[in-house]
Amino acid sequence: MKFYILPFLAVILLAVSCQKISNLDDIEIVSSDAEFAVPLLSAEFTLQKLLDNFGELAVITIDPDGTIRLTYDGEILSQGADVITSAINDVLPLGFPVPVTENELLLPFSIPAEYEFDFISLKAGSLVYAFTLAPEDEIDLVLTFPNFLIDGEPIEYTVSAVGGQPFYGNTLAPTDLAGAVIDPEADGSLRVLYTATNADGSNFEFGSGLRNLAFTIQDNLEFDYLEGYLGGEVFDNDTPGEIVIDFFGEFTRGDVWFQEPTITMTIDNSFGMPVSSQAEYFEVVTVDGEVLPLRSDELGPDLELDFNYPGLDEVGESKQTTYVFNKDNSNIDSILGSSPAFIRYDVNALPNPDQDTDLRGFISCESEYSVNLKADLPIYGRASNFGAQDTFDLNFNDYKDVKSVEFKIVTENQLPLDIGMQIYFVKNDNSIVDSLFADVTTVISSADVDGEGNATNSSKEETFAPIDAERFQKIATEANKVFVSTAFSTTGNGTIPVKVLADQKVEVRMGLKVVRE
Amino acid sequence: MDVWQQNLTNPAHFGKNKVNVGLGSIYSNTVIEGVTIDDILRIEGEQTIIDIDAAIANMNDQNSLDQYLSIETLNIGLNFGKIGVSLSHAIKLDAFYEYPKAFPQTVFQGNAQFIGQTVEIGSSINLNTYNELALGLAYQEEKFSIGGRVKLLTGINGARTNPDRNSASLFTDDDIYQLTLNADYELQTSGFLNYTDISDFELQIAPEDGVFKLGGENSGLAFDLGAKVNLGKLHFSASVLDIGNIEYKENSKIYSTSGSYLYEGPDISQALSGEDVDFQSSLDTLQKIFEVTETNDAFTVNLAPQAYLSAKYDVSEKFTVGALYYGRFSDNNSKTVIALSGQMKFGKVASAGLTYSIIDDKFTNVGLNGAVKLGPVQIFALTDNLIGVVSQKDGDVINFRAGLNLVFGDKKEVTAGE
Repeated sequence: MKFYILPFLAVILLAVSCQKISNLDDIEIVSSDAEFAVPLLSAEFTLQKLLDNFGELAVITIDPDGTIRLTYDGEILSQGADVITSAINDVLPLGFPVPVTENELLLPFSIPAEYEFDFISLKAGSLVYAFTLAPEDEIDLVLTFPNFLIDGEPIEYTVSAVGGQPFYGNTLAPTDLAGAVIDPEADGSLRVLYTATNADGSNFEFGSGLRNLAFTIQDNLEFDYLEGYLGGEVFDNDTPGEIVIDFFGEFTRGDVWFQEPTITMTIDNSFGMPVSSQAEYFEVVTVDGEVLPLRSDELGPDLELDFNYPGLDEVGESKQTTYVFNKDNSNIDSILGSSPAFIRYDVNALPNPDQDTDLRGFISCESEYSVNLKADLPIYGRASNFGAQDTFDLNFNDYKDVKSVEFKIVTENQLPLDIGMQIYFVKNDNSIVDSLFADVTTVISSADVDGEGNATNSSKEETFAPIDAERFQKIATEANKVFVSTAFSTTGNGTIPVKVLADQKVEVRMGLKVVRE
Repeated sequence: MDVWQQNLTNPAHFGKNKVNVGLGSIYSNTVIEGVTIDDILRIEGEQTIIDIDAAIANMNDQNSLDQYLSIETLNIGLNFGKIGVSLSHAIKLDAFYEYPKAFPQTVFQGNAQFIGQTVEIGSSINLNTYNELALGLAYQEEKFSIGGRVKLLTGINGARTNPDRNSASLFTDDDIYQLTLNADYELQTSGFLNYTDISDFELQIAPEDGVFKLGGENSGLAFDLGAKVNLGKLHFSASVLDIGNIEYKENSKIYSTSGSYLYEGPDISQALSGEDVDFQSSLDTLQKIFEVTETNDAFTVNLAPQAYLSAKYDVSEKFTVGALYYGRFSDNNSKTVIALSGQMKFGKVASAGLTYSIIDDKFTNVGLNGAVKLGPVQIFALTDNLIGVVSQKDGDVINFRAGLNLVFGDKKEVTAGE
C-alpha cells in the first residue's frame, strides 16, 4: 500500500506547503480510529491428518467404505524351546563326572517328572570318559552307552590298558554328540554299561586296580529335537505385554464410545503339542487410572484359548491361531469405550492342558510360540464433551495501539462432530484474565447423519468474538498465555453413533477486524 | 493598459512599447476538485491540524489537485518596427494529482468499511518542475500580428504515472476478509523518489540541486504560437502554448508492479498434523504485493498544451468588454474556462477590470485585475477568483498573477487582463 500512497503524501505536502505554515513539524495529523479487516489464518484437515499427529503409535488404515481405523500393535509375547530344554539341562549331570561303579548304571532321565521323552536328538555336545589303573594291572575295558546312539549304534569305548599311566580315557579327544540320539529306556532312564577283563579274559573286579571310572556329558549339550510327552508345566512369560493407546492421552476429559472395537490375538505356534493360553491378567487401564479386566464367557476367566499346533509329521511348521475379542464375545466395547490409556496383559501358555500322556508331541530347537495382540478402533461411535487442551505463549506488546478486535471464525465441516472451543487469556500463574467467549462455544457444527451414522451434508458455522477496548487493554497488559480448550461431541451431543470417514474435511478460516488508534 | 505579460499567453503580442522588461512576476493557478485545503487544515491555538476525517468527509468519489506555478525571473521584449523579439526565463511547476476517495479512506480509516466490495485505490500524478528559457519572435502589421516562441526546457524533477498503467483495486472478502489486490501501476520519477521496499523509501519534494538548473540530461523543447487580428474596435486573439515535452534521463527511475494477488493469511493445516507451518509462502505473497520492479529507462513528460481564444470590443475609449475561451489539456486532465470581462481605463496610468469565469463546472468565479504605471514602472495584479485569493482556504480555484515591469517607448495603449 505504501507504494501507492507516495503520490498522495507528496501532494498533501505540496498543498500544505502552499499555506502559511512556518514549520511542518508543527503539524498534527488527526483522524478517527481506523478499522482494518485482515485474514488471519486458514486450515483444512481431516481426522486422518489429525490422528497422524495424535497417535504416533497407531497405524491408521482406511476401510473400503472410507471408515478410519486406528490399529495399535501390542508387544509380542514369545517363548522358545528353551523353556523345556533348559529344564532338561537343569536335571542332566552336565559338566561333572558321573562315576561308574557298577557294570550297569541306570540314570534317571524323567525329570521333570512329567516329561516322557521318546527320543532326543542332539545338535551339539561331547562325551568323555576316564579311569585310572594300578601299575601292576593290565585290563581290557568296554564302556557302553546303549541309550546314546550315533548313526543308530550305541556309543561304546573299548580300551586295552596297561597300568602305570596317570589316567586313561578320551578327555583329550571327546566324542562329538552332534547328531547323536538319546533313546531312553522305557522307564525313561539311561543305562551305562562296562566290562573289564584281565589279560586272560577273566573278569577284573572293579575297585582292585581299576579306579575312578567315570564319564562326563560336557555342558555344551544342545538339543535338536525332543519327542514324547512334554509335560504340563506352564510356560511362564517373564515380561508382560502392553498396548499404549496414545490417542486418548491427548484428551483430558469426556468420554468416547467406539461402536465396534476389537482386539485380535494371533498365536503362531511351532510346538508340536497341545498348548492353550492362560492369562494372568488382561486388562484396560483408562486415562483416569481405572482398571477394567477383559472378560469373555467363551474363553472363561483365564481366557484359555487352544493353540493350533503342528503334528509329528509337520516338524518345522508353524500353526496360527487367531481369536478376535469383540462386543459379542467379550466386554471389549465397554472397556475400550472408556478412554483407554493402555492395555496390559500377561499371557502364558499351558502345554498339554488335558494332561493326556498318550498324546505324544515334540519340540525342536526352533520351536516357539508367539502371542501378538492388536487393538482395532474403527472411528465409529459416540463421543460427548471429549476434550483436549493446550497452552501457548502470548505477547501483545506489539499491539499497544490496538483498541479493540473482533475475531471471525468460519468453519465448513463434513465430520459428524461438534467442536466447541474456549480460549482463556491467562497470567503466568495461570489465573484467568479473560476469555474469548462467554462460555464454551460450538465453533464447528456437526454435519447431519443418516440412520447408519453417515454424514449427509456439510455444515457451515460463522462465529464472531468481539473484544472491546477495555477488555483488550486488560488482556494486552496482563495476559502472557492463552489456554485453548476444545471439546468434541458427535451428533446429538454424543447420543448417536457416527462414522468418521477419511475424506471428510473440516475447513477452518479465521479473520480479524482490528480497531487501531 | 498594455501589460507585457500578455506576451506569455500570446507570443504575437508585443504591445506598443519599444522596450519591455519584466522584472519578475508570478502566476499561480490551483484547482481543487473535491476536498479543499480548508477541509484539511484547521488551526487550534498555535497548532495546525490536518484533519483526515474532515478531509475525507468532503471528498468526491474522485478528487484532484491541480497546481500550476510559474515564476518569471526575467522577461525582455524588444520591438524593432514590425518585428518583436523576446527572451525570457521562468521556473515552472506543473502538478496534477488525482485520487479516488476510497484510497485515503482505506489508508487512514481502514478497509473494514469496504468488506465485500472492490474499491479503486489507484491514483495518478503528473509532476513536472522545470526551467524554461524562451526566445520569441513576432511579426506585426496594423491589422494582424503573428508570433512564435521556442523554449528550451531543463527538467528539475518529475514524476508521472503511466496513464495506461495507473490502476489498483482492493477487494476485501466478506468471508474472513481475504484481500485481493489487482494492480497495474507504473510510476516514473526523476529526482523525486527513491524506493527500495515498503520500509525503505525516500520522497524528495524540494529539488536536491536547487531550482536554477539550466543544464543536464533532463531536457526538452516546446513551442508557443499565436496570432492577433484587429478590426477597428473588435480584436481577436488566438494562441496555443506549451507544445512540447521533457525527456527525463537523469536519475530516472521507473517503478512498476503488475498482477493480481490474493492474501488469505497463513495456512496452518500442516501445524495441525504436527508439521512446521510454511509461513514463507504467505510472506512471499505479501512481498509480491509490494514488490516493485525498478528500471532506469528515460521517460517523457508532456507539457500540458494550452489554448487561448478571445475577442474584445472597445465600447468606448475607456471601456472594453471581452470574452475568452481557455483550454488546458494534460495526460490526465483537461480544463476549460469561459470568461467574460469588462475593462476600464483610468487615463494612462491605471486600468482595472472585472471578470466572470466558468471554470469547468464551477460558476462562482469573479475576478479582478488592475495595473498601474508610474513612469516606466508598471505594476499589475489579477485573479480569476477573488474569493480564492482573499480566503484561499474557502475556494476551490485559487488563481492570481502579479508582477513588475519596466516599459519604455510607449506608443499606444492596449488593455490588460486577457
